[in-house]
Amino acid sequence: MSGCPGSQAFDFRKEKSESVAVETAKLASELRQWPVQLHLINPQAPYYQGTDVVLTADCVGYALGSFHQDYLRGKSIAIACPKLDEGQDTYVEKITSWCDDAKINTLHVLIMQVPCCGGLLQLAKEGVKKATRKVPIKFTVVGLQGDILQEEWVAA
Amino acid sequence: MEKILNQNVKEVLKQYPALEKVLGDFGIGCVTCALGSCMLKDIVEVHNLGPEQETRLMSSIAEIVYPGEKVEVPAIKRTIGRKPHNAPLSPPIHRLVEEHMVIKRFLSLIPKLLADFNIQSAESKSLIREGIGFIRNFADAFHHAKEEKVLFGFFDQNSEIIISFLKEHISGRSHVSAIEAGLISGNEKLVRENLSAYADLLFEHIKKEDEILYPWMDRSLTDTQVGQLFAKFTQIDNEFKASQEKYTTFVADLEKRFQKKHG
Repeated sequence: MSGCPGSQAFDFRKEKSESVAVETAKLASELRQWPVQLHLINPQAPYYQGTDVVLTADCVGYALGSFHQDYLRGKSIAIACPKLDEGQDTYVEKITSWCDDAKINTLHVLIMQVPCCGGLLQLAKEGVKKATRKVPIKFTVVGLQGDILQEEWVAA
Repeated sequence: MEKILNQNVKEVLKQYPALEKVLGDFGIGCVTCALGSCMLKDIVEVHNLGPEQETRLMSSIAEIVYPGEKVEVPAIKRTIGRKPHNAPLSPPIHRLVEEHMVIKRFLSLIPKLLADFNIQSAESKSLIREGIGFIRNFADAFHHAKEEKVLFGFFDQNSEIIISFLKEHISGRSHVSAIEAGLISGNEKLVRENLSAYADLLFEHIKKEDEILYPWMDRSLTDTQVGQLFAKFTQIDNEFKASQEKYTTFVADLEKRFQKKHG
């Protein structure tokens, strides 16, 4: 394996059959790709083509206990921190590329209730605005205890 | 109560006319529907009442259908979850509502069109023909096509609710054909009656879609389906771009014309 292992792309889709929703103590991971960090992902990777994408603030996966089952299942993902990450112009370009090149189906943005997280939704809106091909954006605001505070589609 | 819930609303109201007021009190306007073929349980689910409201409705129904008896009031088995009544619609469904606004603006002008209508006047007939053009190309070929060829395909085509809305589309088309026949044959009464009837039908049809059908459909759609709907609607919007602009302008010009004339 050459280069940084953290950014080498892995495509797990063929190994994943449709998960059966069974309540067990140990739940199956619904992650179907690598990498996940928005700086590392290639927006034109095969697992983004025509798919539903979840763009999640870093902390959401820790706050939301059912994240894999309720939000990630069957979707592709990227994560970012709108407060601490640098080079966010690249983020906007990648989101635009999702729309125009990967032709994603929908973009679901999950953010925490803290004010700094709102920036991720703004980045998503900016990226879609710059795209020629528009996609519908949905956003979910997650409370610090994992409760869903708001969930709706962004007005087109 | 399973028996009554699985009956169509027309039959239920025939047996128990007192239920008309009960349904009306809970905002269920199906009593005026000419078809009345939807099952009572489906009607209750589609109207998205809160749990407490639904229990009160079911209790009120039980009091009329089983007076004096102690009846277990069932909760309607939901096929989809509840959402607040004011939850914003998804973008593709919202687009249909925006198209309704253009159609309603035209429908509002029909009384003024008819007030000025003279079957002997070539100009008058020409204006009605332009109106038919709006109905056929904007309301039908563009808007209703999105519903019939795309949106309804995500639902059970055999459900009474979908069938009842499709039948209203067909009724609308019949009225338009009659209007055209009246213009050709010089039958003023035929034109007036059918244009009026078309306006009444569409106003009611749009109200039911905006307030009940679209929110119900929106709650039923998965995110993936919303994305698919959005993409297909965008494709249709692009195909009909020139037509949309033409007919939106037609309605705006007609509004200005009548504003100048009648103030």
